[in-house]
Amino acid sequence: MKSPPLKIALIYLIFSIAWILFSDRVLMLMVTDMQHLADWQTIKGIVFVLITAVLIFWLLQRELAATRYANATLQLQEKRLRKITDTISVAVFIHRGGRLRYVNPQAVAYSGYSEAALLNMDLWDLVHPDYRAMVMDRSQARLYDPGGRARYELKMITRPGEARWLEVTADTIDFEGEPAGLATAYDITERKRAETALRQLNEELEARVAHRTADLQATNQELEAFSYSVSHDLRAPLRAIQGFTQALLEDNADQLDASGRDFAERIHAAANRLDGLIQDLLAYSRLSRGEIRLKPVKLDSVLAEALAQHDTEITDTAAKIDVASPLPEVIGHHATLVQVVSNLLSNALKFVPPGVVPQIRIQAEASPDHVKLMIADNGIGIDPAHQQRIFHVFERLHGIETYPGTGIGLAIVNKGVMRLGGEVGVRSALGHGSEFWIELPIKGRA
Amino acid sequence: METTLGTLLLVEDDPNDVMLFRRAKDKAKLANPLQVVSDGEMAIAYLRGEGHYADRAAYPFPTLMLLDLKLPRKSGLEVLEWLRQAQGIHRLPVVVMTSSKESADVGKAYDLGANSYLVKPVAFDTLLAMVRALGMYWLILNENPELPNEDS
Repeated sequence: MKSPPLKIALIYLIFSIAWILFSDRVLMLMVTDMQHLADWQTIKGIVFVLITAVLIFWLLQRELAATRYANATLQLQEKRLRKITDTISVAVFIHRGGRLRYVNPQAVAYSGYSEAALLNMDLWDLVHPDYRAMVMDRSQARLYDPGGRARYELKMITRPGEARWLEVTADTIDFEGEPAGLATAYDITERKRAETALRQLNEELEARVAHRTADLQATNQELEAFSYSVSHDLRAPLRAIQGFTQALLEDNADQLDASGRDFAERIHAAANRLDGLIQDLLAYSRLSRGEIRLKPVKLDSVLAEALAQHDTEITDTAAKIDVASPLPEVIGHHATLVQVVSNLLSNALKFVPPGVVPQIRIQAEASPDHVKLMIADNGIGIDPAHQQRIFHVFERLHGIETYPGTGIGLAIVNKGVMRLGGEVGVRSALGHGSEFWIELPIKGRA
Repeated sequence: METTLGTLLLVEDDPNDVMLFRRAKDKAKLANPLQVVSDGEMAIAYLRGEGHYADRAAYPFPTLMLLDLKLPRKSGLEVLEWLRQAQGIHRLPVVVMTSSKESADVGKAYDLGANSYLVKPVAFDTLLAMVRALGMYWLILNENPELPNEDS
């Protein structure tokens, strides 16, 4: 609380006054012999001096011990602090007005200069020219207004001239009795390098993605051009083959013998088949590429349109078709659904044993969020072993002679239903007919 | 009254398709004279009456143009675009007759003012039915606009 000398003086003062006030009175009461009073006085004086001497000695001794302890503690703390600044992997710079006053070993290690050299340098001699103005401004500003802690990244130039990234924390510190600038820094060169590498990698990746996308778009355009030319150019010679074979059969029939007519008829039929194949392929590719906007579709009108497409076959085979109308509404795409249902109907009409009248039953089953449309026939059925394969392009289970077809019909069904967000499947056993079903959503998807 | 029958102008570059069309037209007993040009530039020259097409007695202005889309030199769509801007003849009915079913082509053709869009069938019988319907609708039932052939 108070300085030790004052404390000692005060204790001495209080003790002396107390001695003076009480010692004489005690002496008066005890000593009645006036002759010996002078002697007792002398003894009292000597006792006083002895006691105060011991007291002062003891007090001083105590103070000294305290000071020694404090010094030792201070030294220990300083040693500890030095140990920390010596071993820490953060560089510490203390500067006044830029001139370096203290650097730790890590600062020496970062900069490549010796400690002595550093203490003859200004802080900004170490800073990369790009950041020098900023560091100078900030250091000067700190002289007038300490501001507080600030953190920034900068580049420093080492003695060998290498640039290193540092993350710096700047603050003010009391150094040798005066405020000084404190800068602690650690090397983030590796992090910066990794960041740059990552950024470059990202940019490269983006460029590659953009390139791939462009490639894909080009491929897609090529595909479109291809299917356009398939539809236009491939069909033109086909029209000629078909048309002129028919002309041959009609206009020059009398010049052809039986086998000549047979040949021409085979050419005619083959051309028709090729046309069907091209049309199916185009329909399939259109389904994959075309934009489909989903909206409510009435299955009744889909079915009516699909049935109309097979009018001739239905009449020719005298097929019995039983529709459990009214059929519900689904979310889909009218034209795609017509194609899907038409292909399923075509199969149901086609794949019957010879001499059997096709019987087809169409019904729907509604659940809270789906509608299942089922088309059951009395046809030849499908071996469970093949039931997965039939939905793939060009899969055929029968020879052209037995049941003509392109092998694309069910692939179109599959692709079409998939594009509408639905599912397709079949339940069948060989010789017991087939039931194809498609499941479609009732509510639009967000 | 042979002269009252309007001329059909077929713009078609495939000679096979031209022959098949002729055969279908004959089978459909369509008596209208048929003129054929094989590319887009010739179609425009014919309609303009340029060069030897200036002789309108030999090359009368058509009552109906059947236009293929994929043509050499100038595409059918270009011919159509030119025609709809051309003074005095822009009302000529045009039936596009092509192989392409691509919805982009169909849309474009209607945008440019096609009056009808037909896809050439592969089966000859279907072509025959189409030509019959075409003749019935465009050359008999349809009321055609006034075009240069009436005053020449």
